[in-house]
Amino acid sequence: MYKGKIEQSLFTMHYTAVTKHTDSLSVKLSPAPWLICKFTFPKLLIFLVYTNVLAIVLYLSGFNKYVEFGKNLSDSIIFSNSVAISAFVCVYLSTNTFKSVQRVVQVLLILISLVFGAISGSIIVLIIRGTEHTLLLGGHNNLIIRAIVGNFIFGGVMIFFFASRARIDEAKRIVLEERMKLLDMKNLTIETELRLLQAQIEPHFLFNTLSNVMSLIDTNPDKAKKMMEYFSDFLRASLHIAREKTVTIAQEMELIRSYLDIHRVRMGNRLSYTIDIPESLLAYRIPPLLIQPLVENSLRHGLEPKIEGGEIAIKGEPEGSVFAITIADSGIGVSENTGGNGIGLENIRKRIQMFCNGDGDGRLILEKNKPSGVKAIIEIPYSL
Amino acid sequence: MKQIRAIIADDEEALRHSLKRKLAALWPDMIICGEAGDGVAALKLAQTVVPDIAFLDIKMPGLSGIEVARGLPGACLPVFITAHDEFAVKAFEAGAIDYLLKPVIDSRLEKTVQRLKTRMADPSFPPHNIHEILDALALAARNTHEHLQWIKVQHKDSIRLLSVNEIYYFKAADKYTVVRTRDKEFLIKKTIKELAAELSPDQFWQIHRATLVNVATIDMVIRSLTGSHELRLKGLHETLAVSRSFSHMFKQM
Repeated sequence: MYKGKIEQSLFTMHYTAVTKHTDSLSVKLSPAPWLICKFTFPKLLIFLVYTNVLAIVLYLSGFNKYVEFGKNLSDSIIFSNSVAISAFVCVYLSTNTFKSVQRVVQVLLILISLVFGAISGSIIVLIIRGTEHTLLLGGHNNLIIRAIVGNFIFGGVMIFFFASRARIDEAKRIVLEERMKLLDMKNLTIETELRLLQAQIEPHFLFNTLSNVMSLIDTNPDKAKKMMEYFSDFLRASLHIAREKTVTIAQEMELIRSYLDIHRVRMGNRLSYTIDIPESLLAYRIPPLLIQPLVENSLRHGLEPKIEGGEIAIKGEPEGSVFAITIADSGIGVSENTGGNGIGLENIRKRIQMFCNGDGDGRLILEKNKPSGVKAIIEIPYSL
Repeated sequence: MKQIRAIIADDEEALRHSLKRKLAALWPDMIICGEAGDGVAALKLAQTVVPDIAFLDIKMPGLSGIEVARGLPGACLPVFITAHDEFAVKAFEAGAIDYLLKPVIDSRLEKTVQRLKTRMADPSFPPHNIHEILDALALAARNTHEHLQWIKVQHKDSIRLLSVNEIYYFKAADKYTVVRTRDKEFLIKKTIKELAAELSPDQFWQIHRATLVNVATIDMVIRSLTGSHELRLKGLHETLAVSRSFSHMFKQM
């Protein structure tokens, strides 16, 4: 039941996280009116290349025969470039001056800028070429009208091109951002899952403890009370530990002490234990529940099956550049075919490696204890 | 009515006491004629007093409750007490034996007593296949594997215990066999042939006359131009050669 509840809460958590995520995605992507791009210097270069190509194409197509100014290629190019540059400058100035305006206003600004650009560009042509100012407005095909029409048609195409590109980029960025968020969320879910798993209480341990308390309540209420105290100590320590990424050795030992105390009530004089960690090691941080599973293994596979029981000795020792925590039991030891804890050990090994960032100095060693039982040694480099 | 005799075996004294009290209240005709704190003592007790019912904890030091049940004399009915519901379900499915889940609740104990009373009145009890049922249960409860799980190696003045899961490969070298873990090498006397027979064939593959590799540690299979295969292992720089006669295992992978 305990496990089921955790799984359920994990599921709800995950579920809400996912729905929340999709909501934010649709809100960001669905209203997609066209977005005005930012006018920058590289864009001006693209603009100019486009303008010159246009000028040459127009000249080659023979269109220039029908106009009064720009019958030759050089005039045509000068005209196109000056109009394009001044139009770009006008658009650049207007969009950068009025930044936080509505999109409609922005479109209007661009249109006005194009007209202004056309006029100023035409004047520049007159100044450069020294032609009569009558060409500006007079006659058919006058410069300003040509510039405005040209700007609206060709400039419009270019701006639309930039705007749609900007829109695609923006959409891509949002998708990428959302994907990153999703990854983060997945990481978080895995992390939470791991912590909940770590905090999970072995059901047999829970039921054995409860059953012991129930039978003690009638016959020995004082002992039952003591057992409940140990058990609540254990629960508090394990819940606290489960929320942390790393814990001090002192905290882990607190958990182990209450765990062993509970077993001592159950096993009576079949179990004795010693914990001997020097003061200097107590404040070092290690991943939570790294040592407790080894104590559990010693009990489950070493001492509980042994008729006369035995002892668990937990010791901490500085050893050069590493410190070692040793969990030694005088239990029945392992035979070649004893199963049931290989996976747990693998998990501890992986967590030590992850914690030490692959530093080979962090490791778990299992040895035969003398005269009987198993000795597990965890070594962690001091530098961490 | 005939006096019913029973024994209780549990490694926790408090539990024995409490069960005794509860049974005395629920079934006054029954007497508890003995208690035991471990499996060996329980079996001895059962063989001396020959009870009608044996309340047996499954997880006991020495012998498990199921092993005790297999050695019970004559018509003695075992009732298992356990915190491990997976065995209980099996026992219940078998339909022959009753069980009590820890913590033992009064109402459930009452049901057990009722069930025992009807069964004891039924002459076909215990069923003839009780030993088959117990054998199946014993297998489920035993914490041993068919295959090798631990390799013992000498290291300096101590004996290291290597779980087979942490071993990358075994390789024959002269009279010895090299055992490779992530960061160390050890020598053992067991031959590749013996190991191949004892290790799980799903976990360790023979890729060469002289090499057994832990499948879980394979990073990738490299195929050379000449068509021979080599294995690269996770986090190790060396590669292992796959001999031609074993290379069929890596085709189409």
